[in-house]
Amino acid sequence: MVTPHLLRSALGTSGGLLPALLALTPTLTTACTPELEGRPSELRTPRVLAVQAEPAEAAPRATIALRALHAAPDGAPPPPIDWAFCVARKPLTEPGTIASTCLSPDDPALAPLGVGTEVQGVLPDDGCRLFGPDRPPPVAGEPAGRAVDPDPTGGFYQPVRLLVQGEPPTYATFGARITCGVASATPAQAAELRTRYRSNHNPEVTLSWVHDGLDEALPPDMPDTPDAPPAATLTPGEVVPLRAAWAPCPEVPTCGDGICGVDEDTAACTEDCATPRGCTGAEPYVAFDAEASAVTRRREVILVSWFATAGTLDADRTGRAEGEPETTTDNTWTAPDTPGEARLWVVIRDDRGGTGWQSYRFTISP
Amino acid sequence: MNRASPALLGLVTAAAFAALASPGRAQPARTAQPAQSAPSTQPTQAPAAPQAGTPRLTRAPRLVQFVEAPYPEAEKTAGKAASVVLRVGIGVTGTVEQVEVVESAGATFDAAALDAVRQFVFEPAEIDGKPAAIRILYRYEFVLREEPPPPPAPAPAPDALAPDALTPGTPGTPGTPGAPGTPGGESASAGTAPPAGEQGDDLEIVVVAPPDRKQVVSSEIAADQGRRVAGTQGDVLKVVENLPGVGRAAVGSGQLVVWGAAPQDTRVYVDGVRVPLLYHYGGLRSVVHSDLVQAVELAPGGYGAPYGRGIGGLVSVQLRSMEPDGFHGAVAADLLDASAAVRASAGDRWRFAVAARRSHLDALLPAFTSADVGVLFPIPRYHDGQARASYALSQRASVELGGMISGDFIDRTVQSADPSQRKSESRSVTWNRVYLRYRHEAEDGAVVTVTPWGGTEETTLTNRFGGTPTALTVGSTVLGLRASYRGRPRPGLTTTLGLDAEAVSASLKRAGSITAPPREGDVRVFGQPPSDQINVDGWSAVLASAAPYAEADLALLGDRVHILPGLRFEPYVISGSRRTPREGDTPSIGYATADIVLEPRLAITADLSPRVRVKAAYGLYHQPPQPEDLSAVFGSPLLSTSSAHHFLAGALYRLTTTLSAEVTAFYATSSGLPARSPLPAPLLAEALVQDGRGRAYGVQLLVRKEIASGFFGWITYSLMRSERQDRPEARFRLFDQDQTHVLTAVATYEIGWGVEVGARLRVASGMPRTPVVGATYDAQRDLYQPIFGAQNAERIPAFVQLDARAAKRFTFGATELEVYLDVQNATNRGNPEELVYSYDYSEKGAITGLPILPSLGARFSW
Repeated sequence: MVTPHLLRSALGTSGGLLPALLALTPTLTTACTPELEGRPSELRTPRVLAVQAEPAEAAPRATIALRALHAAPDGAPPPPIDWAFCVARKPLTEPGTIASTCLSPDDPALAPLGVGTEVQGVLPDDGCRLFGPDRPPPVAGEPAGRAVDPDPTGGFYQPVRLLVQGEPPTYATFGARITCGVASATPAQAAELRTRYRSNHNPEVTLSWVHDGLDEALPPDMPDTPDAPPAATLTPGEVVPLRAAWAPCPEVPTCGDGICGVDEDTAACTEDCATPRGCTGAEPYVAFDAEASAVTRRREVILVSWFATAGTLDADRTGRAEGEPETTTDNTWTAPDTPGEARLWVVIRDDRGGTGWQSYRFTISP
Repeated sequence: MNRASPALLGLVTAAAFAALASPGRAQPARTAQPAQSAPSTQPTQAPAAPQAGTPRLTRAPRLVQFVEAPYPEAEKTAGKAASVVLRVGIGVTGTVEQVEVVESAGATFDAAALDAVRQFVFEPAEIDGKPAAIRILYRYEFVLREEPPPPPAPAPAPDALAPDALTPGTPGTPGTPGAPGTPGGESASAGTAPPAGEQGDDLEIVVVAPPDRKQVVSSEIAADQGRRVAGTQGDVLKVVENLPGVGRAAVGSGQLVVWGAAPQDTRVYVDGVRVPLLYHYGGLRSVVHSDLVQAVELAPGGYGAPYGRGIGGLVSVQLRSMEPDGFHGAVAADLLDASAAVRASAGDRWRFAVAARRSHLDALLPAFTSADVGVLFPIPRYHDGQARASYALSQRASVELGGMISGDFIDRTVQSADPSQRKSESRSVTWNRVYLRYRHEAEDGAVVTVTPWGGTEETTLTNRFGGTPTALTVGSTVLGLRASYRGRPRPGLTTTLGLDAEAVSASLKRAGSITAPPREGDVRVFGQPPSDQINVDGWSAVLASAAPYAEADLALLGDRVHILPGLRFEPYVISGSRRTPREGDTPSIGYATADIVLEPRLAITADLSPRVRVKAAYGLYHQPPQPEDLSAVFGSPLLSTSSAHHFLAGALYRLTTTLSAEVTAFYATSSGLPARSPLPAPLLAEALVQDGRGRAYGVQLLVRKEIASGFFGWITYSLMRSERQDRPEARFRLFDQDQTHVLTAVATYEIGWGVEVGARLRVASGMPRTPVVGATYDAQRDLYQPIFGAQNAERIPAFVQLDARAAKRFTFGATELEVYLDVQNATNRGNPEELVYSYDYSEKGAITGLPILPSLGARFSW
């Protein structure tokens, strides 16, 4: 599977290689890709950049808060966002992540949550039946249907639909991670998971400017203090090495570190687990590996998405895979050639549905 | 002065002659006359008293139209003479239906002789007073003469029809010494026919088996033509892509889409042994070395009872017959691969053939470009090999032990700073076949063939797109048996009785999204990441069936009408290891299902005149499910057979002996096709349901010029539509690989001096795609998801490509070197191959395929 952007990137790195390749092998027939405009990191029109659920993972019937990061190149305030849970399952024949029926304003399968950039709602009671490992309610005369498959982390998600009332109206979707059981595990494995698993915690990101081998932290934009100084003042076309960082998470449980991690419980560490709190970095967690039929210990993948209203970012998204313990990821931003103001957003996601972000404001001055 | 002179060496007689004429193995054909001798046109022996009830030859075939072969320029310059012995199959109408080289004189002489003999016209032989097909040996002599030729005798043009060329008392009439009926040119003075008494010693008596009729609608290409077609890069079997009814495969896929059927619905056989693939990955090469191939036949539908288990078309590869003609071989290499093939005989009874090929593109490409080219683009690696050994048990019986191996591999890794865009791809297909074939031709012409065969197949797919895995491993053991008896119980009736059995035991593992890899009917766009909802399953399945079949060929109205009814009875047994998904440590529960089907087949051909033949056929076909679809998690264990009805009708018009036009209309319906469950919550172990239906209809036209005077080619045009209905209440939609128009024109011409040029033009409608009408932002995965319009409502722009080929042959004694340049996309047209979108689906573009691609190759043979 090759995305257009990947192909474009590949071509860009191959340089003059391509003509020679194509002259030599018929296997490269998919190599001539069109030049399509736009990159994900270029914020040219207002749009949703991220959605966060707080807490990042909760059981059905729990109350969660949802907030959206809506950004506009000119800094305009976000338009009204109409939120709803989608309680319809997506048929196997439908692509995408949400049932198409929920991509209409007033479908009966929508459970409204309110309007705004932040809303609250109670996770539907039957989330684990509709979107989880529990068999769905049987239809009259038919046996119970097929359970939903988990994502690679073993998670299940309550679909959320956002209708952004802009011009034109657009849709965005999100999945709020719900705590459910596990399918196809033995009772012992299910019990082990219940004991050891800790709900996800949203990650947090900080940004620094790398120069002379040192990281210089950049102060994030504060919406409540619009008169605050910019994160930095740059010259037109200046190349800015950037580094996004997140907190290191303990691999070994340490009572008293404020984190109730894997294998910690109230019996072992009341101090950390009386009010369970996770790590804001790449958290270790346990999941059921269906292929190995075993409970395995894993670490979250961290993805960092970069957005800028002007200038050019080398990469649209960077991050760290499960096997990479580093807690930073680098990118380079080339400031715009024209003086003015530019805004930058950094969105961090873990692969268990957790999200966090920061925004930064720069002044470009000769 | 150069002169080509043929000599008819022997007649193939019916069983009545067999016993008396050949006390031992037929002698190699011997030239009974000086080089200038003309072809005999007479029966050479009076038949002995036939045994009661045994068919007897009442009239031997007689050559009424002789065509002179052009003397190969290089050989003429070198002053070389030669003779080529050919086995010529003569049909009931006297036309040459099959020619093969028995004793080679080198590729150029062979090709010239083959070209000429294919244009011969005979007065047909008669058995029991009725026209019958027979086979003869024929020596075509190339003789250099210094004296000027006599004035050419008036004769019809080479393409004239036989009846026009035959009049009583003209040269060539039995008993009339002289030149053949259409001597023309230099061969008019070729000499006289040898006295009958002398010819008697030259007889090779070969019992004629009842003709193994080709499918009613099929296209057959001989190997020596197929390898010379532009764009095939010397690969005989790649010519199948250019035959009528075949859609253009998606670039690099190597798939066969025949009459709108899914690629897996078309079965491929090599001498009756089913093989899983015709082409290596990417469609670069076929899996059988061209030097071992005699011909390839494509029957897009309506084929007879001997074949089943497929609801699409049928590809039959006929391996070259092994003759005791010494030691021959060839080595070849081009940018893609290198290959070698040898064939030899030991004594009178043993014959061997071995061929092997290995790709080197993966090694060459980094040398020309950069070492990491394989990281960016998948470069297939492949190998294949074939080995055959035959032993003549007697004149009439032989056994052959053969084997085939093939392997395809692709590995690619794409690195990225973005973990979700790191990709790895690893695919492989390895398979092998071993067969033992026993063949016996009885004195009455009946042929018994028994071929047990077996093999293994191993397919692996391991992809990772970011954190989402996709894995599918299939290991299969395949056993088969094909046994048949073909005989002529009475004049005008040929019957075939047989058994076609096959069993597949497969062990499978799969992991990943239920929609990856995608299947036909899935709505998606190229490059779209797979769903991140994943599962795993491991299961085994056995699919077995044994089909006794019977087919008759009833000749009526003086052999002008043939009616071929057939019946195939096939009970299928399907069993699996797991009826429901695994739950904890609960033991799995297996299952077994049975499906008994009866498949009637009927074909009718009628020769309305020597020029016009009409034909029609009907057949019912069934196909077992793919083992991959029998998963309790990803598919449905209780899938049964799919079925299809084929209806076709057509007409063939012979404009000349070498130029014909054929039009065929077809209509095929299929039902019971596995399709994804449309339910939001599919029933347990029913992710696939058997509600799919299909229909395909259209018309195809083939205008074909057989090889004559160094030129051959064809133009084929198919107008067709293939549709699917995924569930009963749904509307029919276009099949994912539907192509409304497919036009292919192929031409090859030998211009002399060993130089040959050729071209191929292909025009095809683009395949359907589902338009993207919008997009939503998926904040969970940070990507845009497309919103689709009506399924398959738009198409990739049309494909137009011109390929060219030039070859030059150099002869050194008994060896030959051929150097060729095959240029694909000679006009450097940017053909759209796939639609792609910008990251937010706001803009659409097309990936274009090959730019101009020259490929230089060489082949040395002896």
